[in-house]
Amino acid sequence: MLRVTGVQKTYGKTTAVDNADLHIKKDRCTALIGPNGAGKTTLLSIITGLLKPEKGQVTLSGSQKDRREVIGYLPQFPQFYNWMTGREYIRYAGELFGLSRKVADSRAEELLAVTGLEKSGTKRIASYSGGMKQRLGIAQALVNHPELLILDEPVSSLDPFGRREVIELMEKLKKDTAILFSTHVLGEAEQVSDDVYMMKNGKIIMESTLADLKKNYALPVFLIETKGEIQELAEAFQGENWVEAVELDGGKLRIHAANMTQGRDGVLRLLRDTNALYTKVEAESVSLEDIFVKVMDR
Amino acid sequence: MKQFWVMYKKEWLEAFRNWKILWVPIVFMILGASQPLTVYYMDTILQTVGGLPEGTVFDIPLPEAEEILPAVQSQFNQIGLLILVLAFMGSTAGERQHGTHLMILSKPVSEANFILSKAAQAYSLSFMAYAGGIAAAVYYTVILFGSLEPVHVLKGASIYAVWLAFVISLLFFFSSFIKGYGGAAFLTLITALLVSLSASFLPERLIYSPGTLSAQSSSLYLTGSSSAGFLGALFFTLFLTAGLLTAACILFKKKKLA
Repeated sequence: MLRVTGVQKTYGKTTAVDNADLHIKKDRCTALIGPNGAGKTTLLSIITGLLKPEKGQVTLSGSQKDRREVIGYLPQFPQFYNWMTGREYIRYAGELFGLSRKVADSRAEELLAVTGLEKSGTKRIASYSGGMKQRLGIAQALVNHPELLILDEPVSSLDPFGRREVIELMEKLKKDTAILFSTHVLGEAEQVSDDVYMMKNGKIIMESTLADLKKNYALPVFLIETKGEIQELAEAFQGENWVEAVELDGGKLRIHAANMTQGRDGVLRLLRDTNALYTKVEAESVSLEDIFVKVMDR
Repeated sequence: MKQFWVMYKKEWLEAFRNWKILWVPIVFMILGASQPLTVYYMDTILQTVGGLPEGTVFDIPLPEAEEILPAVQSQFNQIGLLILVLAFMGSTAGERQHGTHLMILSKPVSEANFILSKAAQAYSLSFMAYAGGIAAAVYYTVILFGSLEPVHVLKGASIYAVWLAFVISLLFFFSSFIKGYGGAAFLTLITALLVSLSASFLPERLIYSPGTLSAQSSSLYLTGSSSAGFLGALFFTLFLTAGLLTAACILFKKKKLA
């Protein structure tokens, strides 16, 4: 639904975004991952229309004149008019989209309920906690029923409770709207995203679906815990031709197999043949964090 | 247009919540009232405060009623301008400094509406405060010094209001591309000072300068008639004011994120 082609933006000598291509699909949650200073915020600002790129284009399917009409945006550090109440702010945001005061007001009430702020709607924003402000920020971004919700680091500044609240909210929202969010908190990204873009020094260095990513980066490594003699078991594994390496790791055995199929087969066969007193066998799963570190080091 | 009104109303609500709606007019009214009062009671004040040797005959002739308003105006030109600049210097600079504009401008909001709604509110509140100040000055002048010609007062006061509008547009112009509060306020006051100083030093050369308007206003207060170049100066100032606001919108659009 949204396509970014060859977008470039420089600040002085540094290239903040370098020839970036992005394709946001409908009904998908897309994570933009990268270390601090990778250019994520700049890229998102270009997509929202706050910044103009020097080169490249952002095109959105549909017939609207101004793409801001169908985008909802939460900046990295949302700053509100602190003298307003939460409800007034959302109503004001709605009125800026051309809603009548009445419609905007009922929309505000609805969104306060969605984001769990119904009790704080009449309080001044100055008294809100960080998590409440983040949720109010999401609420104001939803006021126009956006087709694409852009969230810049929605969880990075929050404590674990706040993070969980926001992630749960995102899971709820992604049923109705496409979401594009940037983050460097990878555990959360893993929980909600379908597509992943990784960014480094202004360049998109990897794009994939989360499922493909995990498949491609899964290592054929198996973890075995045993009650029996661990040294003997290790030696038994070392004799096998499909085993590339065996590590003894504090009472655990890590078997690096040549590939996944042989490994699965071999591990079970050997455990059965040696009558090992195993307590746990598992294929080591790969987290987004491991992949991220690998991709960034490349 | 509808969006403009929504934003204009928001500016008023803000002025209401941070008491600007009260303190700016009150300061102007105090300024306006203090001039006729201090002139009239100068005698008494000097006697009460003391410092004059016993038996000094000290006879200050009371000025005519018409002469009070030009003096009030010079008060406005010094303290009044400073107050207005202080009151509105954060209007756009503050949003940019805090980043509150990001969530607003990521919505389909035109940059011109963003600037002009703020400028319109600044004009409204400034004129309200200025009218209050003039009203207070006229009230005490009439009570203490005698009657004034209403048409002269109206003319003189409205011409000076055009100068105020020009200075406010300077402030919005400078704060459209300067991020800090202080920088824009300082440049506005310096520019206003230079414009009015140059006009008073070279009255023949700069006959249409906005800086001549306060002298024109004084002459309207005193005699009811203006001096040469009046219409030219008036229209040139209005033109400059509109030009500065347009430039502010364009510059802000270019630099909104910086």
